[in-house]
Amino acid sequence: MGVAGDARAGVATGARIEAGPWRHVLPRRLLPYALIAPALLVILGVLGYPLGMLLWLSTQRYGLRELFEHQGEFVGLSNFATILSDPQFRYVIQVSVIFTIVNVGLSMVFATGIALLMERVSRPIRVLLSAGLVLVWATPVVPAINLWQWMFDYEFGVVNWVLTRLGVGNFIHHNWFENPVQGFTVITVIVVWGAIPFLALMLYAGLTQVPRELVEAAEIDGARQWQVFAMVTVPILRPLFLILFSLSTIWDFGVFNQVWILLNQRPSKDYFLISVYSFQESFRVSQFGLGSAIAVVMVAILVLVTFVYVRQTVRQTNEEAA
Amino acid sequence: MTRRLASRTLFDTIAVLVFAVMLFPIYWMVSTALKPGKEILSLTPVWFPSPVTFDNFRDAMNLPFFWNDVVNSLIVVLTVVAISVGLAFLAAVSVARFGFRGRTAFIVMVIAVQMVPLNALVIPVYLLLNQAGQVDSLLGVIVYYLAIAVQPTMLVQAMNICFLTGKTTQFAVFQRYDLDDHPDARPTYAQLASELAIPVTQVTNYLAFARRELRRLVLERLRALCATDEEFRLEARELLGSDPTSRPA
Repeated sequence: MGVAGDARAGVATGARIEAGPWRHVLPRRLLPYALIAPALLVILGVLGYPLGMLLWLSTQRYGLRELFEHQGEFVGLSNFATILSDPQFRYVIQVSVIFTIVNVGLSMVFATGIALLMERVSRPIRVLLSAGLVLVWATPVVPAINLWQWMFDYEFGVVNWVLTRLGVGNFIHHNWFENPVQGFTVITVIVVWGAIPFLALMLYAGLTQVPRELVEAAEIDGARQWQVFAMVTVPILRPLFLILFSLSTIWDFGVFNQVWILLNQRPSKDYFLISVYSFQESFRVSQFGLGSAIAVVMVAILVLVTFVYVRQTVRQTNEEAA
Repeated sequence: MTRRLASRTLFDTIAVLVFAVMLFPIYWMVSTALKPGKEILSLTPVWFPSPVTFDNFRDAMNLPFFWNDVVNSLIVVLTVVAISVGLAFLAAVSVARFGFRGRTAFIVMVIAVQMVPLNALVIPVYLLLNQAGQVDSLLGVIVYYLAIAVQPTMLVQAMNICFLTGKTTQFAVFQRYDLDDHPDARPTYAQLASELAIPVTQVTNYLAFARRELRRLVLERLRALCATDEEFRLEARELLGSDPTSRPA
């Protein structure tokens, strides 16, 4: 092939990067390892080590005395036996699972709707909407929760006023947190509101990558809008949907701040989601061993649920690399 | 055409409504901040602050420790961002630019790290900081936030990897086989395959891809430079040794 020789002049700068000063310090073979080393160190240090310690703590009796002595007492799996036979724990798991399903479902449905909408609106409106989404996304969690708390305030809250005015019912001086179902509704609103921007923007970015030809071909074959969506768009975006579903599941199963801040750091037992329960057992009751065991169960459930996602992603990355 | 216009107007209207609902909390935050106290604690909501007052901002900034808190936040943010972006960049270069043993394992780990719910780590991190006497210190906060920040940065990085790997490996094959000067001999396909951790069959595929791309680029550039079809054909024959019009480029 004559191609290669003629191309040399054009791309030579790219080739010369290889011969930089690094070549003398490090053999080329070791360079990639040197580059990932810092990241690897941090991941192992700030995530791996605490994770290992969490496992170890879950087999310890670790109360206040042990905290001062920096020395736990090994009790085997009895922490797990304790929580698994605890009816409170069973209630917490049930509530957490229902909460996660509802929140992930609502977030994904709304986000997909908004992403599809963004594809269909005129340009200035699209810019407006995405700027708005980024603004919501950029709002830090804690101030956002305070803000919603203020909007749902039983006396001066704007939500009660609007609902009363709209004729939904009499919401004057209505306390949303007396009834856990209503309280969790408020928490769901906040979580979904916070989750929508990231999901919608990712999905919109994904939608723009769906090949036009496939959509047109489907339309020419007489597919309706929803058929195009179900049979062309969704299969193509399946990996993206999988990632977003798994990430949402992880985030929503671990919801803590919303409950903790909304209920003024003193949530009643009705409001215990799994991470609230774990925190309560550890830092309020000072049973760090029990709290760790709860956290381990939480991690285990998430690992099971998201196993599919990891397997899919790994398979895909391998296909792309191979 | 009118039907399309109508549906577009409909979608635009819905989008504006969505925008209004999503942004209302932010608007409410800003407008509450600008209201005098009497309008904030009003049983009937006041939609627009009148008169607009900046007293709330003045009061907030005069709170004890306000600026102290701002400085603390800045310290934490700048440190964590600098460290995590730096680390993620180096690792991304490594994974995207090189093939090496353990590359897939590293990618798997980066993805698996996403699975760790951080709230579960509060307890061990607290105990570790407690042992190190770093509870209530900025250093402790920085370390914990590093754990939080590493994850999304790695996620973005992992996505970049997905986009980058395909093309950069192809270029690497092309560069090693066609472009680099080979004083002794060209590397064999098998050598290249083991060097870049890809199957041997992909070496030929990538080479073919890179050569085809180069040919396409050269022809594109050439067509822009040449005035007539005849000149283009002659130049292409000269440069590539073949007639671009005789087969699809």
